[in-house]
Amino acid sequence: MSSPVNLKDEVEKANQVAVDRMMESDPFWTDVVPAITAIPGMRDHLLLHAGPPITWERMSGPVKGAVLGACIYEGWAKDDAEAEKLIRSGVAQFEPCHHHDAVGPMAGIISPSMPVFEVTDRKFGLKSYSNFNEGIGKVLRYGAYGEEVLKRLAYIRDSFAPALLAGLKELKKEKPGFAFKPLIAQGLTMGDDCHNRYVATTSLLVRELAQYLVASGGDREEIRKALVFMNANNFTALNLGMASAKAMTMAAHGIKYSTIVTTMARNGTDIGIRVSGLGEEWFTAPAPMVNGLWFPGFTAKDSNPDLGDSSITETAGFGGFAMATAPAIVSWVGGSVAAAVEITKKMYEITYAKHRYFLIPNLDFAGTPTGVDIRKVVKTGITPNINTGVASKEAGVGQVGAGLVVFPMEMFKKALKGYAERYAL
Amino acid sequence: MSTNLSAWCTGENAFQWLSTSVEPPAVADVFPNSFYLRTASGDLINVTGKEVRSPINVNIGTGGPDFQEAVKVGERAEFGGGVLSVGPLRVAITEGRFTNSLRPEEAKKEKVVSVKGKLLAAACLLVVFDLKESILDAGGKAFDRYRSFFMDAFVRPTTFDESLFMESAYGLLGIGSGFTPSFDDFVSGFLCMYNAGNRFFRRAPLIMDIAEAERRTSWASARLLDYMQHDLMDEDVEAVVSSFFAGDGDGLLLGLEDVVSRGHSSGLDMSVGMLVASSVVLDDLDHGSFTSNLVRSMGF
Repeated sequence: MSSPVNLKDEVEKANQVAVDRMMESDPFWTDVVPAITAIPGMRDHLLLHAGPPITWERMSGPVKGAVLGACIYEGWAKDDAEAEKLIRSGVAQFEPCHHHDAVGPMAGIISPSMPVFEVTDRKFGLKSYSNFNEGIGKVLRYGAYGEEVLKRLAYIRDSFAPALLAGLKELKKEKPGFAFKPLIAQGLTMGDDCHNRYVATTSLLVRELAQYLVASGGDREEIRKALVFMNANNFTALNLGMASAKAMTMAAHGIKYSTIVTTMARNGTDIGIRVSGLGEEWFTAPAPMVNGLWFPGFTAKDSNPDLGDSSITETAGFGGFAMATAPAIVSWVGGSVAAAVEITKKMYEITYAKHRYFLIPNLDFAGTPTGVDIRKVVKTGITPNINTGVASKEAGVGQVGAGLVVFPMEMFKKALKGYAERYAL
Repeated sequence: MSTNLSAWCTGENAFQWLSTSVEPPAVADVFPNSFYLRTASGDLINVTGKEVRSPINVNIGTGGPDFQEAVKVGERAEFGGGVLSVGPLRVAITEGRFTNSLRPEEAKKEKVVSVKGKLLAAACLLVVFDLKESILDAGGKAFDRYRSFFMDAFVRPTTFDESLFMESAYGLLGIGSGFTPSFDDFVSGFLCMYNAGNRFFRRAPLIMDIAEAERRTSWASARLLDYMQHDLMDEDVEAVVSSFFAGDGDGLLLGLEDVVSRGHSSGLDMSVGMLVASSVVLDDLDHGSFTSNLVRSMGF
């Protein structure tokens, strides 16, 4: 039985440790590998998805679409009818990416043969993973699974990933890997929030990587195509940024007594959080709707509830929490520049620290709000605000917009209750 | 220029006091999103932009004006034709009434007793918050006095003694920080839960003399305490009390989270009072001495 004074001290100490570890984590991109050979616990016929655990029956349209597409991509089924039969038979199984040290944007589907980025935290020795970014619009992560989607996934697997790996191998002759923390830090000072705006960060990534792609001696046409593919997609760096954020939050997880949130993720039906001092337990609520800007031909009525593991960026202290540094993002997610600054300022009220390395120039280089503390969320009534892409609620359609979303209080209250029960005096 | 507002809910008591006041009530205290009206009989009506309902509230919803700019202390309020007029504000009071619906006398003993396992979790919930300037702040100026009170009222006696509690409590009214001093908030929470327990046991309520309380603390704090001890409480507090008597430990913890978040330390102090009173009720039910442990676990 702890005395209360001890408990309060323990909480503060634990939170300091958790947030220190989150900030001091040092993620490097170190490999490109098929998911089944690298991701812990990955197995045949297992599909990883974003957010907390969910069954096929409760899955939203875009996640179902991505699952069907992944079954076809893997060659388990020739069409969606056969894929659904396979799923209903129980042969194909689902588990959250987060249960396997991985993250995936939007539907977040990672199938066994997909190439994934491996990120190594050189400070704490942890490894994390994410899939490749396909671009925007009709893409698997938004639930589309038509021919063009599958063709692009095949290109990523057969040509793009090998080209990147060859370049990375060249880079690793000089360095231990591609350091991602400085890249994110630099991107944040160049107008990216590193969740929905990765324009500068992707440019920096491609600029650094290009010489190694060329030096790899690979097929010139494949290298050219790889550079064109990356150049055409401002979100190229997103998945590596997410895997880096996952490594940072893994470093902060499992600290006894800590009230710091280490996972915030959505599966399009539910939203869930996990807390450093509360082990692997999820605390969930219904996924909220996004207040968005819509692509031509779509409206709010077409949108699915919030979706994706990409809120790992906010969990690690950037993304929507750093919106003050990314004024141009409002043209993508809506709102105003002043509102973006206000969101960042508000997030200071629910976080434990200002980041040591992720700085916001136009707030006098203040550190970004880092380490959501469930106590502060409950006390202030303020919940995390993030920005996000929006998927169509129908399987097979894809992205319909992007916007801002406020997380529900319910899961933070449940988490604090869980904390009180775990650490009862 | 007047500002027209509409109350989406009005407390039953607030409505009665407005309707029957022989003289116009006056603005007594003003905060950014609430102001207190004092009636001729000394009652307190809380006109508020906050969402929580209470028998003494007039809820006008969020998005209203900054009351500190709109109304002034001493200004008279007029009520007629369903409209409350204060300074430039015109508040239409037409919508539903709120009243408490607690029925602790209908609670089942075995259900109430089942909550006991959650009380230490509730204590944990309270002590992990920022305790500064609260009744639990071990570094606070009045902490030694609070500790003496807790030892005398809850630790040393083998059973809870109402007169001993009252005797010590009067001496500490008005002590502590905040618009409603910490100790007042504690007593409010305690008497609210304890008197619900008295209804459960079919005993007379334990009532603090309000005139005496007003001599020791502010009018507003004494009034709010008086309402709480007479079973007039806002819906968040009511949810905690009703969860306890329904044997709903989860509801108790989640309800306390809503109460603890209010004000700088008011919600925390009030929650400590409710929690300690819950334990006293349980000790009475099972002839236990759990309260002593609970109080010590919170640092006293």
